[in-house]
Amino acid sequence: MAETPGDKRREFLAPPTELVGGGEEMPKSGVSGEVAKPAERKLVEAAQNGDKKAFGELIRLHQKRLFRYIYGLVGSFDQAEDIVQDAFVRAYGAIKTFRAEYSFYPWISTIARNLAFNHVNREGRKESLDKIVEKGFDPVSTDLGPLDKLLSKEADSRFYRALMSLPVTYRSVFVLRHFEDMDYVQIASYLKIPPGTVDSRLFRARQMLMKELKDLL
Amino acid sequence: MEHSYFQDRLSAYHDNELPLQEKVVVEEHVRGCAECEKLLEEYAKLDQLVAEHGQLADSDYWEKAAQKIDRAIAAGGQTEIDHTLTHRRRSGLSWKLLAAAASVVIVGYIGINKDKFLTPDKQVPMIAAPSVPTSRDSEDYRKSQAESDQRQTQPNVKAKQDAGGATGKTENLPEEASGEIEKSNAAPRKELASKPAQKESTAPITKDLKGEVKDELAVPQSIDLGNSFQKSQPAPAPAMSALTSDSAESLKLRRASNEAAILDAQSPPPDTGLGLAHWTALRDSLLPLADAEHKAKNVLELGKTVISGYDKAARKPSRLAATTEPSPDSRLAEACYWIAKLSKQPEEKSQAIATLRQIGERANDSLKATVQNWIKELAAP
Repeated sequence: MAETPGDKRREFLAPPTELVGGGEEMPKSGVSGEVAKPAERKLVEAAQNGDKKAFGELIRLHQKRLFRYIYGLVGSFDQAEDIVQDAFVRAYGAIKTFRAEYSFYPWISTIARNLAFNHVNREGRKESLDKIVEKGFDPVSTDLGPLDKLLSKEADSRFYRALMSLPVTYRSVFVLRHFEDMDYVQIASYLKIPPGTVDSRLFRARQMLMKELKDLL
Repeated sequence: MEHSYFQDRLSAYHDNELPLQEKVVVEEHVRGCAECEKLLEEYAKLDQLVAEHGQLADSDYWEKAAQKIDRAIAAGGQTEIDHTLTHRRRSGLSWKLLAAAASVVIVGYIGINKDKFLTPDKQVPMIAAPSVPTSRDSEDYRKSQAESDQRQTQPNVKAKQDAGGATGKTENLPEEASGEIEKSNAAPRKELASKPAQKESTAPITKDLKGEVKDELAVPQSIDLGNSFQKSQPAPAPAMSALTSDSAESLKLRRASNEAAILDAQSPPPDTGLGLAHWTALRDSLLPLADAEHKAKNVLELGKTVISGYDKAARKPSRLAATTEPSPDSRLAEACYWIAKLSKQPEEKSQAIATLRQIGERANDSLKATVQNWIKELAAP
């Protein structure tokens, strides 16, 4: 059966399967099974004992990576900023439920990802998505806004403009693969799509990016 | 296999996501295909490009953003996202269903217990419409109407005006009657209640009619007729006195005891000495109310079915049954019984019995048994 833009939207907006409560409840600790480094573990334990400064250190350790990830999903600087802030506030509120032996980033990124997908769902991006699908790849028209200030080179800006011009279904797969190092099964499970669809979308996303960034390759 | 097939598979091959068997086949093809080999190299370069240019630069922005988060945590506040997320979850189907179900229950409950919820001043006079004497009025009523003085005809004009008002047919009323209507509209309710039976003034009678219509949604006609009949029948029965009472509370109590008497006896309702015209008019006024209550009960039942598990009120039908108010159905049954008993017209008689049967079908067990007993008695030669 032919895939329609509406199908793509529903898939993208589907609540993440691996996350509990669609953003309302906290995800479980150790989703990735990654063990925490000793320094990070100490910070988490201190934060669990009410040390806000220690939690501040955790924020500074992970916020940049988290912001890049969420920006890649939602495509808006301001919204990404809000979501990252809200994710850390929520994480602090539930820090005592987190098991310190596990790495902190998978947990905070899961919280932020939930918020991001709920945000996209709430915003109702049907129109913009359909426009993108209809309009196709158009990196020139993409305005990065405040993000440009966080990009030191022109090539960085070109890369992000190209990335933001991808249809949201392709971009989300690409971001999960390249920014978060998820494998196909994890992406498929998260987006509730077959692994074969992950494969084909990633293939198309790469084709588009390579075509646009040919001179940089 | 076609070359395009291998091109499509190269992305997954690059990510090491192909099954082993397919991976071997693709590897063999790539060794002999310069184009595919080049494509693989481009994938590797793209990975490198993402690693190099996908990073965000160090900036004082990050420290400012971190401080902003610190402040949000210190304040214990939540961001706008938080509120909207909460709102989104609460605006789910279950909440919409609950709201709709609650509305159904509330409307149904109010519909059944409207006497409790609507104060006399708030009750609408729409029920006065059926109080217009119709062609079905008996000879008794016509006689009593002819005997009554002009003051007693004015309430009927008023009733006609009320009925006409609902359909916009007031232009044919006599000017005198219109004046009385305006007077009665302006009169305070308490004053009216304290002067229910003044004979010399036309206004109090009209006011009394209006007041009782407001007080008693179900029995507006009975007040009007009651005044005329009281004159010709010096010893009103308890039911009649209840209808003409000026106290809403005592009226309710008397009505309750009246119904209790009706239901407990399981025998013909007490003979109040009222004429056929009274019962006919009472029936006409009760019919729409009884129908409305029946429909409201149906809606309530539907609501309870839909929302079982959500609304506590729906799980307590006893709250509805606990009312001591005589239901419109029981009073309508009494009226129909007496119409069937007193009427000499076979058509009117059979119509009253048919209404009784309808009531018996939809009534609760006790009223059903009573009504069936009455029907049996009426059917007996």
